[in-house]
Amino acid sequence: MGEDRSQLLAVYGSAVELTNAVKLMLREGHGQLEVLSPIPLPELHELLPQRPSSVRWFTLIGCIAGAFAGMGLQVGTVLHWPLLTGGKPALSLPAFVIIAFEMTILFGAVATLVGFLVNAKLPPIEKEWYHPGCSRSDFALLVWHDPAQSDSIERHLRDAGAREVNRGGSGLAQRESVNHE
Amino acid sequence: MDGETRIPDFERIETTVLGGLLRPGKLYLAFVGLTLVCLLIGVVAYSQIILVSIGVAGINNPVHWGVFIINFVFWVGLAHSGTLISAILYLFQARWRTSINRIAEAMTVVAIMTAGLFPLVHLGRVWLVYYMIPYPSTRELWPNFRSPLLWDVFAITTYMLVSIMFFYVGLIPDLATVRDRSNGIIKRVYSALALGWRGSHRQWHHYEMAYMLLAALATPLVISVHSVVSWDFAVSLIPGWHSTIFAPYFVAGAIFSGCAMIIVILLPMRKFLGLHELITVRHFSLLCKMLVFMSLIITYSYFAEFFIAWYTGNDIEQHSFYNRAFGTYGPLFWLMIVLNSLLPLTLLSARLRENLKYVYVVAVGVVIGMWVERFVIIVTSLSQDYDPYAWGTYAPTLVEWGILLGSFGLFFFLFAVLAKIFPVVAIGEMKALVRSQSGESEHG
Repeated sequence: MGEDRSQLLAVYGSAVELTNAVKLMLREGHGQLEVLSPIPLPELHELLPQRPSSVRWFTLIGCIAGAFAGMGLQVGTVLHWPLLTGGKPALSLPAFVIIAFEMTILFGAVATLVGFLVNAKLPPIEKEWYHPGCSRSDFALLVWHDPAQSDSIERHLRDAGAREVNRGGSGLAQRESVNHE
Repeated sequence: MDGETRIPDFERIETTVLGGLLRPGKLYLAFVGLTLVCLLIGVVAYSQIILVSIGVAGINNPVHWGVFIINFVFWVGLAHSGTLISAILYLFQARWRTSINRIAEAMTVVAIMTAGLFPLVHLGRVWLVYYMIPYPSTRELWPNFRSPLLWDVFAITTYMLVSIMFFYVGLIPDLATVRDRSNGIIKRVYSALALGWRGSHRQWHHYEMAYMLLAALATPLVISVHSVVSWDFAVSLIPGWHSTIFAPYFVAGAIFSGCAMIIVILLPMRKFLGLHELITVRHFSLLCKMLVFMSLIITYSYFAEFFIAWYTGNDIEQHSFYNRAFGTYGPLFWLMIVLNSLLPLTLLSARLRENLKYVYVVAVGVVIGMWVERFVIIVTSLSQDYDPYAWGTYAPTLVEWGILLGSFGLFFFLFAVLAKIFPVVAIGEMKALVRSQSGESEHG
């Protein structure tokens, strides 16, 4: 996020209040918002639209890589070190499908995990605003804004039912109720 | 529904689930002590194989696969139900899984770890296990990729890794909850495990996609893994094993035994961790219905095996199945029929499904019955195959019984440890379920 922008973190006691606050901020023209919540909030999909998660592309590429790696390992091995048993051809493709399948799943799952961590920015490289209640029963709205508008935005956030509002400067001011993970 | 009435729900879920976390009571410590004694017996028994030889086990020609392979199939099977409940029911959006999916996933991880030890035990000279791993070596001796035993290496390793990943990804939001409720060194440990989870809508967006994809990958995997295990048998030419029905038959058996083991674990946990609100009689009733359904599939498979043996007109195949029912191990076969085919049918009665003590007895019976089933399949087929001159019998030795006991000790020990350090119910999912059932989102 831009260094010249200030941040306000408003904490709400319910998802309904949070959703109302998001609507209010959007109506006021503050589109740079982030929501923190203990559960996924499907009703925010329309208000804060996101592109389909790119984790699926990681999965697809992982699966394709796994299939080729699994088949390649077996084909390469039997071509270089043929081990002839039971009168069967060294290149027994139907039998090789099984290990190729397992490798498809394994690589796909590892790629999914990596894709999730990369996209969700876990673990975070730089400090980010956080409220410890948001893993429990609180809902928070983080608003990036022009510093000159801080007072009016805070008023709006409190009007929408915020239990507390934490202010940050252009950096990340430490506040008691805010953890920087 | 407004925030004031919802928040206590969220807090009550947390308090209920996390109440017993990291605080071992006397009963818990006594249970862990018991599991460690069993594990120690297993270690002492296994040390005999290392110090003396694999000859201390009862396996010998013609029955060269005994309790170790039975245990392997048994524990792999138990692992499958975890994936069924957590992944397959997730894809089918069966919401009742939310109360029990974490325990099922933990069971999968622990059971597959326990299962993975048995091929190593069965090897005898465990220090040569690296022969199975395909890597360029000066020996220039590569594994045979046409062998089901090598398929097993890939299948079981993949299953274990994917199960751990699935378990861990599901845990991340809950680890953040524990982090934010704790202090000091415990907070630091859970902070590291939670990877800095904040619960932002961006994170939830990718989390939901990743969880769904892992479930989608785990579902065909679970089918493939026990199919591969069944091919350890079916690809050979032993009468009673060489059958195309083996893959679905084994997968059904795995899910059947897994459902029973879930009940065996859930009931005491519910009682001792005070999870009555989250794990209700309805959950057990639904698990019982799954148990009955799988029992019917298993019973059909038993029938189909005998029918195919008769229909082939092959003397050796027919003898193999006659021997299974009326030979040396006949009583075990009939015990299997009683425990796996008849006893679960009593759960068709709704009244009995709600009698949890009775349900527990049936579940324990099925777990025993499925172990016996693997004994019957493996031992009877090997004891009398083609050549009457080479027939023989097999009885496990004390070393094998000790290792079996040790495997139960290991399973329950690992499970008890996991249940103490990780939330046993998926808190985040449970909160979302409570919210959706309360209809709050509709008003949002």
